[in-house]
Amino acid sequence: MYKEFLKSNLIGVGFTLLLCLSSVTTFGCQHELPTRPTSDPDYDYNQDKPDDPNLPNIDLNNWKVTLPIPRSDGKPLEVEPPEILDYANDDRLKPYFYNDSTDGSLVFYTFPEASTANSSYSRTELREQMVPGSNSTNWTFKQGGNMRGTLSVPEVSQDNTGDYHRTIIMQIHGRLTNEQRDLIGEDDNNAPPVLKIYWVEGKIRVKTKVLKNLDATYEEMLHTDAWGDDKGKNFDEVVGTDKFTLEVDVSEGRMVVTLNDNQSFVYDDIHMEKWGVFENYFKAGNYLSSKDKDAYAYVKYYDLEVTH
Amino acid sequence: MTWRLHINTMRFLSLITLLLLTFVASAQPKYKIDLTHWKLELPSGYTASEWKLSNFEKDRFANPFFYIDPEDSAFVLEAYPVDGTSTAQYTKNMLREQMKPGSSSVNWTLKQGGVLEADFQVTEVTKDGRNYHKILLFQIQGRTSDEQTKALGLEKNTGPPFLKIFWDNGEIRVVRKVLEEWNTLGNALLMKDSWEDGKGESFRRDVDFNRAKIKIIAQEGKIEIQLDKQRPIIFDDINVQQWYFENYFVAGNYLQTKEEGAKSIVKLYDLQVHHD
Repeated sequence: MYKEFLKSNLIGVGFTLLLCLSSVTTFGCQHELPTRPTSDPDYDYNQDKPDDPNLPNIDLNNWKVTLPIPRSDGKPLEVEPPEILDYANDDRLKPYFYNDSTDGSLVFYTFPEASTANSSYSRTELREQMVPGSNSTNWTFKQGGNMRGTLSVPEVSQDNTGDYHRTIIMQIHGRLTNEQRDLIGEDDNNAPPVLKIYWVEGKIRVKTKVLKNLDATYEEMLHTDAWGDDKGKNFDEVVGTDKFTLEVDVSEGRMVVTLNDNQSFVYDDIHMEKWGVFENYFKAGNYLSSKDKDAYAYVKYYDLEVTH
Repeated sequence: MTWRLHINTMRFLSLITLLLLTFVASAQPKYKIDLTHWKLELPSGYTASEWKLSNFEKDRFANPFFYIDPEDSAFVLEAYPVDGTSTAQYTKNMLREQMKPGSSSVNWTLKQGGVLEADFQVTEVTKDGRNYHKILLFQIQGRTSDEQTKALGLEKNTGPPFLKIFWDNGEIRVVRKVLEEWNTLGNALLMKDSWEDGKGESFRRDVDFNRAKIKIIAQEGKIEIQLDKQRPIIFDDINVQQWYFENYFVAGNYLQTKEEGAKSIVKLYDLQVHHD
């Protein structure tokens, strides 16, 4: 009786040990790389390289970052390519724009301090630069563009009534060409953002622009105040602090915003057609819509890709 | 020799079991109550539903009043008077049922029916002289539907509480609405003033500061309240038959005073509502 009991226990122990051993071997194997054909000179050594899950999948060659802290002239600090590529070693950037190796994200931290000329809010936000280091090459809806990112909003402050502050996580911003700027006598190239995507209390809210007077002339359309906000709409899904995917796809007269490859908002009305007059650039990051003293927000990007 | 081997085996096995148990335990959700269909209102007047409520553990406005007891994973609801924007008559820390998350306009009729089940405990309450302060624990609140509101020419949805369940000096006391005039008809049935509190009934055995289970079954023409294994309290007279309001459940800790220094704590171990 007693021996039987001992025997069955020992079998159990043996089995458990076997399980432990086999799992150790399995885990051990995961780091082994496939063998490379060293003799082939055209072989792309990067193709078999596993993506490092501890690093964000973001190529910063076509992005500049704006920070909430001021330069000596009071304007927000901006870092362009190629300097931005070394962000992990840049002491100015580190507090606001850094890798979180625990989840492979690029963290955008911001709070109200320095703001740009056409804004009263602060940001830690990327601005697309089709030509690295230059703001003057941008794209029209006819040329088209696609931005896709995986991100999360892990932490946002609350105002004094308990409402969470809102932050803009993606944008398409319009921009006047120099000719357009001179035509309407502006002193900078600023045009309105045609797309603002907000995180609002765990939901994703999309706002776009409408032309107030559809009979406006070309010249009239170039003025910022010719455009008003649409009333905006929320995706059904509640993302909360979880990871989600956002895709913005633009073509002539059409803009499509998709959350988690699941629900899409399609804008293809007269207003999108009229927007064709502007050049645009993408923005991605954390643009906090608050000036409250204690406000702050964290946004994490795990991957971000733009194609034209 | 065999003994020593056996002891070692046993030690090893218990270690494995312990490891497995730890793993299983850590996979369990931290708390049992699903908050999706509830809106929280705190003594400060602060309200939260949907994602905002689900994020309550990180919410510095909710924390002082609404949190998880790490010992037993129960929800703890504390009520004490504070300054704020609350329009409640007393000190309210209650969950309001929302059939459609984030919306207060979808509610249920007695014909549709509803069942609330809760595992609760009053753990602390201050005294007013010799008696403890009274706490409203559960409620079925009446509310005119949008259609009824319009038909009655009212500015907004309104209605009396149909059923109120109090903790009153350790006993569970049930008060429900009755018609002032039993032969009231038509639109007058939807006037708040047509209804008044009935005389109330208490369960025979007090719950005091012990944990207890309650079940409220609302259906067409009948309300039944069960408390642990006690004889249920049932209402099935004309007052129930003539209740045409829409309704929602309310559960929590509504301390029936605004007196300074007053305080009550209610724990909810489980809270479930269903409409079949």
